[in-house]
Amino acid sequence: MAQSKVEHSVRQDREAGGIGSALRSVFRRSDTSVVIATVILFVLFSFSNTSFLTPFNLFNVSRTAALYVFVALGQAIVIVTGGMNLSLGAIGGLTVVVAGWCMDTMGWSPWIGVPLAMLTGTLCGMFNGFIIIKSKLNSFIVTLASLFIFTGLVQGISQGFPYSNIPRDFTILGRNDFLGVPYVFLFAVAVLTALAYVFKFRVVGRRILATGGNLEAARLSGIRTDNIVFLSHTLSGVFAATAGLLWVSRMGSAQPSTGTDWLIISFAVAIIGGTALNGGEFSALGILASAIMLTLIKNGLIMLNVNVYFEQTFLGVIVLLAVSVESIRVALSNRTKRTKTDAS
Amino acid sequence: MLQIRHVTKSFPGVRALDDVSVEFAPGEVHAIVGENGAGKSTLIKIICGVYTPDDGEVLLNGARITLHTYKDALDRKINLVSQEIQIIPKSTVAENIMLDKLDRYLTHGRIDWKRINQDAARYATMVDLAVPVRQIVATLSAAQKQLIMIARALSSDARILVMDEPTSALTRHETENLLALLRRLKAEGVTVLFVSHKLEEVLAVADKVSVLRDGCLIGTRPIAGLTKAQIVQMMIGRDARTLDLGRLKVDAGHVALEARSICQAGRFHDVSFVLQRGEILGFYGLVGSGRTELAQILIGEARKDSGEVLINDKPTHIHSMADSLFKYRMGYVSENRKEKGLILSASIKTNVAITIWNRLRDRLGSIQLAAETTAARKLMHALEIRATGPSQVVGSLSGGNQQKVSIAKWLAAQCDILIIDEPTIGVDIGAKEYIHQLIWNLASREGKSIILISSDMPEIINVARRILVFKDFKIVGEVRNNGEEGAPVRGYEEVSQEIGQYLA
Amino acid sequence: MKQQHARLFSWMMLVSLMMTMILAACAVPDAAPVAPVAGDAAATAAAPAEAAAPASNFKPVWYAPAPHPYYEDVRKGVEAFEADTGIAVEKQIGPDWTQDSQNQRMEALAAQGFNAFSVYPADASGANGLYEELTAAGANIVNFGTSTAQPTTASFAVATDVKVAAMRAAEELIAAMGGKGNIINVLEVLEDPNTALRKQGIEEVVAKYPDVTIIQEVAGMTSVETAVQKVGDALSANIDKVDGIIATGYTPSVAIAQVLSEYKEKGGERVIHAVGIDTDEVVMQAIANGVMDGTIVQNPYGHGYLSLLLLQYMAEGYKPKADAYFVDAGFAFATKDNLETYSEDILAVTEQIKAELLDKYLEK
Repeated sequence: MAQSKVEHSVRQDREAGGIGSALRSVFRRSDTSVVIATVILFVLFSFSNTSFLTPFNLFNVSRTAALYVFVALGQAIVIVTGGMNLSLGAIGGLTVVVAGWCMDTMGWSPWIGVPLAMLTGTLCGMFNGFIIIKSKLNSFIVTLASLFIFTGLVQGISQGFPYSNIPRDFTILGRNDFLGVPYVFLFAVAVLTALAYVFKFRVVGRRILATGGNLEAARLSGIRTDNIVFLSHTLSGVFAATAGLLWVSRMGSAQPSTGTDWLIISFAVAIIGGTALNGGEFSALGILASAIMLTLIKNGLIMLNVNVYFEQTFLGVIVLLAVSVESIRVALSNRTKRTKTDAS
Repeated sequence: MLQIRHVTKSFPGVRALDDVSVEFAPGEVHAIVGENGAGKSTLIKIICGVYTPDDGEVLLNGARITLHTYKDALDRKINLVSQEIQIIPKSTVAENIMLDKLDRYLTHGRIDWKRINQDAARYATMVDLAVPVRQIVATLSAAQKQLIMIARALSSDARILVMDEPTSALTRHETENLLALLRRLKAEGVTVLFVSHKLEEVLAVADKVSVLRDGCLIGTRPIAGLTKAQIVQMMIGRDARTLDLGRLKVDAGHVALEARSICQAGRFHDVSFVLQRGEILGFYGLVGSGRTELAQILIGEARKDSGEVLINDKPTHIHSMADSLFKYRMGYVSENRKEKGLILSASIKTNVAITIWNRLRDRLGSIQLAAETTAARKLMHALEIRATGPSQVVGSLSGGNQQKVSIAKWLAAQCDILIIDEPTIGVDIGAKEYIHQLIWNLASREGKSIILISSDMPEIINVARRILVFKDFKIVGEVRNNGEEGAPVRGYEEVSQEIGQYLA
Repeated sequence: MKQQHARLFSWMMLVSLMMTMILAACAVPDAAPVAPVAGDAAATAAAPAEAAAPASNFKPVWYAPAPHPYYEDVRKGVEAFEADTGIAVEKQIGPDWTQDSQNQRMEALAAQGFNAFSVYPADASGANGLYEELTAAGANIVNFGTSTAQPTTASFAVATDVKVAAMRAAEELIAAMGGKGNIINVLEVLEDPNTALRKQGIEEVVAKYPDVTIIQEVAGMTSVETAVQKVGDALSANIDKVDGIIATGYTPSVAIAQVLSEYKEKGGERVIHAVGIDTDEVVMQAIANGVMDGTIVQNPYGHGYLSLLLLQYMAEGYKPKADAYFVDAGFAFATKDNLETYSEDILAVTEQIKAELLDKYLEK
């Protein structure tokens, strides 16, 4: 009896094909809804303001979205392992200050300044990871402490002064484009693609997801989870540093206040983009879509010239409407599939 | 009188209940048995208003009722004590018992805690919960929490009490008290629906038993004159094999693993043992007697202060499960599969292939998805894991199938030495028997060396062929039940008595 | 277990050692010019008040909530005051913009015997609670840079008259636009009551010119990043009709400088006039390059110098005149033409106010 049921279900599994099941598998993905919401918003804003579809505006939107992607990745990569990084913005700020100090104060070329800044961000991430795995403390507490440490370093080194003598060459990445698409955006898409590949096809990616899914079980399945947690925090530092440097490249100056508002952005983009808050799930497409979505909403509100005093309220309402697409998806998905195990 | 008439309930792809009719009389303990997936939960959920039937009707005292939510059921004095423990850990025993009726204790807008505590104490006594009602629940044992849930149902004056596996967390003594309580309730005219895997309890307390299999009602019989074997036969549709695995041929000359003078401050002192190749070595003892703790040392999850572990006669350096798995091919099936054994949110594929991703890579280092699916499917087939496919999420599988998945990952990794910790907790009869046979075959056919940790005496005696008895972090005795070459294995009674002597 | 603890402990020791070294490395070159940490504060407090005989019981503090370029300019005024009078001023910069930190640190200073405070309030209304306690204990307080909400126990506020400055900026912008066109008004943070005053000022000026309209307002510039994004968005929404853009806060001014520089650099053809505030390097460069028309230059030097001078007078027994509270520290307008000289203009403003300070605001 049992035997035949297994075979039956295996057959079903194999026969899965055709439009119906393709549609079903689309609805089963949690990043579908944010993509749909983004497309809807894009269409709505295109119709409501003629300036929206100008190359100048699209350039700006896609560039900001790309920066959001890196900020969100810095958070997503630790959320995926079941942690969080409150010091993300401070790491970004420190990177920016180090880059500015090297290129402005010391007058070194970007070829020295940028690697040093990247190294700083990486070391900050490693510092977080090291303390977390050695002290066995919660990442919330550790990164809260390091948030203060890094913020203090930012203020101590810069004393609040921006570094404005950044070499011209360094702004190419942040300001120029390829056929109208900003380099930064192409860079973000490339990194996301690489990450999507890593999480699906590379052992290390799978191990990161497994660790996030259940740390104990992953460790007891032979995964060196300490290494994975350390790695994810290091990568978080790398992404924060990347975001910071791209920001310098776009601004043409290094502002020490960079990163102060990253915390909410990073969580919002990552979570709306389908990164499971308790770990184990990651969606590159979702992060891209939600970064674009949030940028679109902010851009659209200005396009629509809404009352500035109520802008935040409109922002909240639109975000709420956009994410409620997710609940529609869940409802649809529940109607098309109900697992057999419900039936026990 | 509660009547279920021609009830059918389908979920996409499966008919969970197929034209089931059954009657539950007042003052009757009515057992519902069946293997996992037979439809017991669906039936209970229909009675409690969680599901509405596609077809058929539910009658209460002759009148047709339609329940939309559990609240509807509660209003008709139908109460459920569910399998999962649902309590508020940081509240007191009394608060948890009276949780759903705090509004009855309002005097002038204030909650009358004195009266609540008094009443709660009465129900606590009824279920033999020997804990002050003002104590915080968090620190209580699972059994005590289960009793609180039963007390909560009693305090609602339930006329129909549905109990889903109420004894799964209880000790023998507590179980007996609970069964006595059910008899008292019966005398008061309460209808008790008793869902259990433990047929001994069913035989001891029930008046009638209804057997479900694959969504169909196989039959409702009075207990009088019914034997356990007959019930099992109805449940699994064939004669129950009395599991006699016979004698295990052990490769006597070869030692797979040897522990020498293991010491760990405050726990182990000079513990040594040997695991032969192809042997099933039992670690028997109560929870906390040092069995699991010793296994933790072997796989590098806990540190030892001194002593050594040899695998294939060579000294080892194991500092983590990763060392254990990748350097010495030693696997560990955790006793806590939900929290430590499996990634419940991930697919079967992921949970099975997690140990072998390295081996599934192509030349460029990418994991071959097809190979991963094939590996998972092969093991699903070999272990008869019932699921919709390798992509099904493990958390939605039944306990037995989950356990098979957590064994499967070590088979995928081709481990030579397997430490299997409490493999059949929360697993139904059919699957339990299957897992025993599986462990046996791994040793007898594939020559794996196995350490079986269990506190289930029949399990350890039936499956293991040499048993180390643990007490207070010491090995207090060794029982050989494999028998001499050519002679039959020793009888169950004889072996269990010997184990009992060591524990005394 | 013990072994594990020992390992953990040694790791923590290592980490803390690392941190100490980093901190030491950072602190050494900074110690002299920068805000002293608590230890230094105690040392200063213990040192006998040098020279200044008449104000022997005058122990002044200058307090800024967090590091910011503006405070570095204010500090120059404070240091000039020290040099002129020989009175040592305890200079402190806090860690963040919360009133809470400010309360804790200023209370600690009061406990050490300091009795005259020149303060930038972290929270315009929240600071009043702190002020009440300090003045009840006999201290004098002068706000610099901005005012606390009324009523307040602070004796004076030495600051820019934000509405007047905003009106001047609007006039300058409209003049540059030739008296007609469309303006984007970029406000900083709406939580700041000064923002409403600036908005009012701009709107009053625009109302005088029938050919000038404000076509868009943007606000909520909590960081330079947000500001750049929003200014960019506002610009692209109106790129076919915008003629001028005005900012009355530091952050949006930097953002305008950045966004317009990039627009021009990439060959943007529309002529967009722009006026900002404060002298951030990015803004000054934009002015030098002709991307922006000008900026309001506040008088941070005066904010520092005059606030301490007022405190000194009060320590000598002077009292504020009945209706004296707000001391307008003035401002200048910097354009491409006076880039070299505007800092002298602003010094002259300070000297003038200094001369009339006693007569205008104080009595015995």
